[in-house]
Amino acid sequence: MILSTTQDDRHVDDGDLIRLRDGECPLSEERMLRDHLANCDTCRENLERIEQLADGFFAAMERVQPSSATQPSPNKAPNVATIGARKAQQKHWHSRRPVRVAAAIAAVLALTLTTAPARALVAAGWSTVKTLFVGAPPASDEPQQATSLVSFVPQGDAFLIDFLHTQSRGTLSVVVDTVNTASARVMGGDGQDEIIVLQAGLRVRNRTTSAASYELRLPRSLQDIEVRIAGRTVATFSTAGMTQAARWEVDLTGRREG
Amino acid sequence: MNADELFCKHQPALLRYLTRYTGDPEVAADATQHAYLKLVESPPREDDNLRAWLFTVATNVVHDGWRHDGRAQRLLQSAESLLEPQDLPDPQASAEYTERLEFARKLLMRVSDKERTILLMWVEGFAHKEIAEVVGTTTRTIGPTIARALKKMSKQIDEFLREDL
Repeated sequence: MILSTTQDDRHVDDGDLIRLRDGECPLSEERMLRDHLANCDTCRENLERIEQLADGFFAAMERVQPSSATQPSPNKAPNVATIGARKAQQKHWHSRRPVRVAAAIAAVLALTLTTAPARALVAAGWSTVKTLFVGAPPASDEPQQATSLVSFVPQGDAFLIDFLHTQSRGTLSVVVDTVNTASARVMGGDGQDEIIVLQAGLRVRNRTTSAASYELRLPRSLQDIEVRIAGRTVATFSTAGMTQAARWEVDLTGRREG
Repeated sequence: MNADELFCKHQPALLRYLTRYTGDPEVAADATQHAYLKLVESPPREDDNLRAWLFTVATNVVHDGWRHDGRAQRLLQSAESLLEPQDLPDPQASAEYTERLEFARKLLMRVSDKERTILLMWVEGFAHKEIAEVVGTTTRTIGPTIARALKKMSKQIDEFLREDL
C-alpha cells in the first residue's frame, strides 16, 4: 500500500518515494502522495534524502563514461531532443506520460486558477517569481550567451516545466511571445544539467549544486504554464487572452525573498 | 532496420551500462560485442523491446562466463568493426578515470547482482516495468529495491558528495 504504518504515524515508504520521483505512480496515487508530502515534514525530509542519494549515485555513475558516450557521433543522434551531457535515447521513459502530464496540469489548474484568466499569475509560496515585463520587451533584453539550445513544437495548450531539484543559484525566465516554435536554452552551469522535451512540457534533470539559468521562449498558443520544482508547483501562468509579450523570472533556489 | 543499425543505435548505452556493471572497460567492450553476436544469431521477436532485450542478453553474457565461448570469432571481429575507435577502451586511460571506475566498482560491490542491474538500468533511463521484465520481478518491487540499494551505499555516496562539493 502507499502509506506504511509505523507506530502512530503513517508515512510514505522509500520505495514509493522512488516511484514518485520517477513518475511511476498513477495520477491518483501521485496526487495522494503529494498531498501527504505537503503536510508531512518527515516524508519531505525522506524524499530529500532519497533524492540526494539518487543524485549522488547518478553523478558517480556519470563519471564513468566510455568516450563515445561523451562524444556522440552524428550518426548516433538521439531520438529525443535533449540538452546536457547525457543522451536522449536513455530517457524515453520521460515521453511515456504526455497524456498523464497534460491531465495533471489540467487537474492542477482546475483546482488552482481561480483568478481572472488574462495574464493571471498565481505564484505559490516558497520561490520568488518576478514579472519582468508585460508588453514590448526592453531594448536591452538580449539573451545571455547560451551553452545549449533546443527548439521544439509543444502540443496542446498546457505546458509543464518540471525541475527535479532546487539549485544553489540560477533562474528560469519564461518568455511568452508570438513565436510558433518553442525554444529552451541553458546559460552557465557546468553542462551537467539536462532538459528533456516532453510532448506537453519540459523536464529539467538538474542538481542541487547547479548554478545554471534557463530561458524558455513559448508561443502564446500555450494558455496554461506550470512551473514545478522538486515536486512542488511554484508558479502557474495563464496566458489566455494575452495580446502582448510577457516575461517572468522564477528563482530556482527555493529561498524566500526578504 | 538491420542488426548492424540496431546495434549501432543501442551500443553506446549498452557499453556504458556494461562498463559500470563490470568495472572493466575491456570486459565491457567484449561483452557488448557478444551481445551483438546474440543479436545476429538469435534476434528477438519483432514485438520485443529491443533495448531491454539487448540489456538482458548483455547481462546474461557477463554472468554466463562468455569469455570461454569461442564459437564465432569471425562475427566478433565483424562486431568490433562497428565500434568506432573512441568506443574502444583506451589502454592509456588516465589515472583519474581509473580512480572513478574503481570508486564505481567499489560502490556497486555493496549491492547484489540483481540490485546492480536494476540500479544501472535505472541510470540508463529504463522504466520500472522494463527493468522488472529484465530482472524477472514485478514492477512494484523496483522502487523499493532501488531505495534499499541506495541506502546500502549511502555512506559512500555521502562521502562522494562531500568530496565533489
